[in-house]
Amino acid sequence: MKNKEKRRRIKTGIVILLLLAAWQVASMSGIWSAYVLPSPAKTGRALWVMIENGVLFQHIMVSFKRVLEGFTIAFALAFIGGVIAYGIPSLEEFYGDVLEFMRNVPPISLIALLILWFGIGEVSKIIIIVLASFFPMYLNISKGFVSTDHKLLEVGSVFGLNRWETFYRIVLPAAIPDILVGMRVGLGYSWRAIIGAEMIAASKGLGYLILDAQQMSRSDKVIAGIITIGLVGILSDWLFKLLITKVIRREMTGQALPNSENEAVNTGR
Amino acid sequence: MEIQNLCKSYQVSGRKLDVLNQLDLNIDDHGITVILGRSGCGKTTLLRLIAGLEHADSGEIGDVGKTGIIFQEPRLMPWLNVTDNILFGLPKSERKQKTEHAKLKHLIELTGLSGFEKAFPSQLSGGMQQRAALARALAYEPEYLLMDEPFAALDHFTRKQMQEELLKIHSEEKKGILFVTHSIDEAMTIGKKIVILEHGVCKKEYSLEHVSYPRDLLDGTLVELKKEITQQIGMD
Repeated sequence: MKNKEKRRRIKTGIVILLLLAAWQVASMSGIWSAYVLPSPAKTGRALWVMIENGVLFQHIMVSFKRVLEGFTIAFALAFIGGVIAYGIPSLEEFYGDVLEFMRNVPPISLIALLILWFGIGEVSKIIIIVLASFFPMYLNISKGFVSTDHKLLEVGSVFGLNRWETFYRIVLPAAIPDILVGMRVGLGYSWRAIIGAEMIAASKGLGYLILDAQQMSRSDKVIAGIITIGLVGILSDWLFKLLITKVIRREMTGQALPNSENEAVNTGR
Repeated sequence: MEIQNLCKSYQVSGRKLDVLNQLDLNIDDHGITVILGRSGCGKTTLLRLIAGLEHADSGEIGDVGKTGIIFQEPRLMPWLNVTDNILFGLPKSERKQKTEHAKLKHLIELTGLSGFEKAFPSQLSGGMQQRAALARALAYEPEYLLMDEPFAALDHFTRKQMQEELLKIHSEEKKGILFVTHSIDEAMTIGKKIVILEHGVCKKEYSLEHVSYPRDLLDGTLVELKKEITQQIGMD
C-alpha cells in the first residue's frame, strides 16, 4: 500500500518534470513572445515575489472567506431542501421542476443581473457560490435521504420508532456518505464559481489577481495565479477529506467513505 | 396467540394474488412453532402481518404485544458497532448506559458475541451478524420472537451451531418463537410444533412436544415423520 503510494508520487513527479521541460522548450523556441509565454523560471519568480510580499495570501484569504460563507449557506439550504424532499415529497413537487430549470443555468450567466441588483460587493459573489454549490449538495443529500434501505427502515418500525426518530437514527446516518460526497463536490464547484465571479467584478481575490495581471500584460503572474488556484483547490479538497476521516469516521467505521472522484456522484450538472 | 380467518392478497400486474387464504392458527406462547412450506406459500407474509409491517385484508391476529423480528438478513445498522446495534431498540436512557447495561452483558454472552462488542457489522461473518441481530431482538424483551428463515444464508455448519444455540437461548428465555423455514431438517431440529403452510392455508400440523432436545434426526420415528412431511409438502 505504502509502496504503491510512493510509486504514484514518483510518477506524478515525472509528469510534472516533463511538463516543465516542455514549457521551457516552448518558451525558448521563439514561437510565442516572452510576453505571451513566460518561461517557468520567470513564472516561478513572479510566484515567489507574490508569496514573499504576502499579496498572494491576501488574495487567497479573500477568496477562501467568500467560498466558506457561500458554501456554508448553500449547505444549510441544501440540507433543508433534502429534508423537505424526504419528509414532505408532495411539497417537493412544487419546487422540483423550478430547481431543475435553475440547475441548468450556469451561475456565471447571472452575474450581470446580480451586480445590478446587489452591487459589486460581497453579496453578489456569495450568491454565485451558493448557486454553484447548492445543486450538487442538494441532489446528493436528497438522494441519500430518499434512497435509505427500506430494510433498515423496517427495523425501525419493528422497534416502534416514530418519524423523527427514524430520521435521525436511521435515515441521517445512512445518508452520511452521500452527504459528504455532495459537500466535497460542492466545495470544488464553489472554488470554480468564485474565480469566475472575481474575474468579472472584484477588487481582491484569486480571480481578480489573474484578471489584473492580464490587463497589465503580466502573463507570468497569470500563470502563477492559475497554478495557485489549482493548488488551493487540491489543498481544500485534501483538508476536507482529512476532516471527514478524523471527525466523522469514528462514528461510522465500516461504512464506505467518499474517497474517490470516480464513484457515482451527482454533480448537479 | 390466536390467528383467525387471516386473508391477505397482493395486486401483481393487475391480477389479484391470494397469499393467505382464511388462515387459522394457534401459536404457543412459550414453545417453538415452525411454519414450514415452499417458497411463495405465504410464510413470510404471515410473519410480516404479525409483526405489523403489513396489514391484513381481513381476519384477526390476537394481541401479540411486543414482537422482535429476525429477518433472513441481519439488517444491522452498518454505522453502529455490535453494542450499539444490540441496544438499538431500547429507549435513549437505557442506550446511554452502554457497557454498564446489565442486560447487554448477559445477551452478549448468551449469543456468543463476547470479544466483538466494539466490532462493526462489516467486520463480522454472516453468522456473527445474525447473532447480533438475535441479541438486538432479545434486548427489546419481546413477548414473541419472529424469525424469518434467519439461518438460510449461513453455511451448513454455522447453521447447525446457530440452531443449537437458539435452543439453548430458548430454554433460558422461554419466549414464544415463531420460526419460518423451508428446511424440513431445520423444522424437525427445533420445532415443538410444525405447521405446514400451503397456498395460504394451514395444511397439516405435527406436534413434536414429546421429542426432547437435542434431537437425532436419524432416529426411527423421526425418519418416518420426515418421510411423511416430505410427502405432504411434495404433493399438490
